[in-house]
Amino acid sequence: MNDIPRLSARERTILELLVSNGEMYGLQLVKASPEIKRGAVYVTLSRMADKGFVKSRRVEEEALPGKPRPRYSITGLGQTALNAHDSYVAHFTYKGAPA
Amino acid sequence: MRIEFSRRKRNGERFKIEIDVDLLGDWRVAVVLVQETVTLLSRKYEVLKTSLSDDTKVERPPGSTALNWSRKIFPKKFVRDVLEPTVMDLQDEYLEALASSGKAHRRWVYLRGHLSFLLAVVVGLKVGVVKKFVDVWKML
Repeated sequence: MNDIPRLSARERTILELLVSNGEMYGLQLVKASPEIKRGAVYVTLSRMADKGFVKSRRVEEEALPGKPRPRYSITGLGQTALNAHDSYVAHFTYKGAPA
Repeated sequence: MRIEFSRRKRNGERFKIEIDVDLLGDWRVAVVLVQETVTLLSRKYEVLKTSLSDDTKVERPPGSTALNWSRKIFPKKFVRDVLEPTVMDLQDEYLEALASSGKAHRRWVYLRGHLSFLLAVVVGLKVGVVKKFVDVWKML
């Protein structure tokens, strides 16, 4: 039971967004969900990167001179954690009394 | 990379500005035409200030002072992974606001960005302290 990955609501939202949209900037994540706050998004992403759920890369863009911003994507471990978390939640969700 | 643009003054006279982006270092630059002035945001604003005309208003990018102080105080990883991207987002949103909206909205974006920075510092430190506490607890 201890092996089931723990995901907070915010972490789950981030992983879901990364699954549906692919690579995203932190600001795009903030704009995509009201649950994710500007002040907490990078702390959460940094923690998730430490756990191996997401990875980041900095891409130079011609249209945007200056220091490249990190773009985040989900890792295999992140996908596994999301699937495991969802099936765990589905298993223990009350689906009503049997007929 | 060079940015080149021109602007008409009230008296009809046009003036041209050329800026070498390399001069601006690793910072984004915004060239925003607000009424009569051209606003440039750059870390190296002293350099620009002396090399551009009086019609050009040069500002430090928002959040750059806070970021400079943070580099002296906080661990490199925390600054690179959390604070730098927070400030970059603030600058991007501020530039958008400069280009397209009024003064009140611009001030709100500026304030919101700095509050986010402060929140990132508080949340980051809290996570760091709790992590340290857990590490020590496990060692006992």
